[in-house]
Amino acid sequence: MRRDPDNDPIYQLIARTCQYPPNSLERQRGLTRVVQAIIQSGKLWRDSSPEYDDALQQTWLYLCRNLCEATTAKHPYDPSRSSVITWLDRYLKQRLEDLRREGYQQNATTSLDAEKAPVPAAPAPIPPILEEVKEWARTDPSGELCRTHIKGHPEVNCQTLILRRLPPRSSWEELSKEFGVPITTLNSFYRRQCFPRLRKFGEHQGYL
Amino acid sequence: MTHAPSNPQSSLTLPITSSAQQLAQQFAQPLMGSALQQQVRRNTLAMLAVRDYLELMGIETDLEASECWNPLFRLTADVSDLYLPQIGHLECRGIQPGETVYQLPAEVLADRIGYVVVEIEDAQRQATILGFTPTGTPKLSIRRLQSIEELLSYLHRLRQPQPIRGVNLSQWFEQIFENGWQTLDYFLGTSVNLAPSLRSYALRDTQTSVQAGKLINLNLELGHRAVVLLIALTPAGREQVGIQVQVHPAFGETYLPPNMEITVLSETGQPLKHVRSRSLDNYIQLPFFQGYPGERFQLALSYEQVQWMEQFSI
Repeated sequence: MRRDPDNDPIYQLIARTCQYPPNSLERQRGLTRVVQAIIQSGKLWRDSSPEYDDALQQTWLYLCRNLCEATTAKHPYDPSRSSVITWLDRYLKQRLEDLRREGYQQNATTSLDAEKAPVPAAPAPIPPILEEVKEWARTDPSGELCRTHIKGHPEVNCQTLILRRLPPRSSWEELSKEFGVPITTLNSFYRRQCFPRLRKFGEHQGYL
Repeated sequence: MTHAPSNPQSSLTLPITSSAQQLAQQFAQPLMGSALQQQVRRNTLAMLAVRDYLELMGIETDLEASECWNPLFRLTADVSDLYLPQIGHLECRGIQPGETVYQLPAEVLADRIGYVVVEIEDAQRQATILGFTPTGTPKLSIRRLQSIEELLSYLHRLRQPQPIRGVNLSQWFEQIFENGWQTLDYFLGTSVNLAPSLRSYALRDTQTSVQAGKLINLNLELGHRAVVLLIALTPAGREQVGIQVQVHPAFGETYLPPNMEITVLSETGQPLKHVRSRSLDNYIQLPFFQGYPGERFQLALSYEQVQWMEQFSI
């Protein structure tokens, strides 16, 4: 089937998008519309393999990086050579193959030219932290958590709030009712006074 | 291309990647058995979908500087933010298909630049960014969200360097007055009915100094507490500008009310000097001060519980 770029709405969208400089608002809007249009066309390769979602996300990144200028590919998309769907399908299938071959589940490293959206490894497992935080808040070694309280409410201090907010968590509504302090006051106190102390403890313990 | 608010074009569907699944599982795990567990998992998937989208757009995010990255915050607070360097924290919340109202927890109603809502379809492993709102309310109506394109323009606006706020005093020498500042001629010809003290001051106009005033109504309920703040600028050699600040009564009053206070503050809000009116003061004035072009200061005028403040650059 011969392509007719002039009657292809996605092609026109691409042409308009690439008129604008990289990272401009117009370019970003255009790229968003191109992705939306490709999804809506329903023509992009689909399968139910476990690698598909990762490969698809890499494909969107490949599209956005190389549609107008070649940022991670050798050449940018060339509308005279193929439709954008054909161009993306080729990349997507290649990624699927790579991911399968690499035994992706065990091995997070990807091939040299693969697009990746790395998620950094998250800090240590949680349950021991929960016990340690509880212990720290309960004993309050420096007395600082107890001393730091809402003006006129010595009972509403960082120690109480941290302990009550640890799972199983009391809601801010419950705490507000119980202490007779507005939710917004509780929250801004918690954020300004208790967060920094939690952060310091976390850093000291090496969680962060 | 046209689009109505309800147009499906205003949302964007992205795949949920395997690393997102893992991280969401990890964030939700400590809340095992609690009703919050699934919500935290969805919120984390939402946050990572927004991160993936912003990465497509080339907009920088810093997951490790996000509040939700901190396990101790996550243990005690319901946060699911994504930090955008130099812009701020964007809260991302995940909903199940069909939800029409989303209850935002109290802890994210402050310190956020906006709220993005993402529909999480577990069976399809898809995350659909539905839209956003710059202002958080305890109950978010999904239907009233702004589109994803509006999120892009909003982030662009936030990234623009903030224009210098306040009054540019050097423009006064070119007779450019803004923000309600007027030449003294203006006041002399209107019903503001300047006090005799200001009339006599205005008559001392010299060729080198430039003066402008602003009518300030400190307490509308009491009616007659309007005053005129007067600033006179005089070139003071070596490019410095001498600044004289006075407060005069208006609307035919002879005296200022007692205990009205004028304060000059540094750019960062540090009070430098202040003067307070006594009973039967015709006007008050701050000690004369000087500054170089580009320097900034603030003036605060307060009376009883009411305060007026403005920033100036020389």
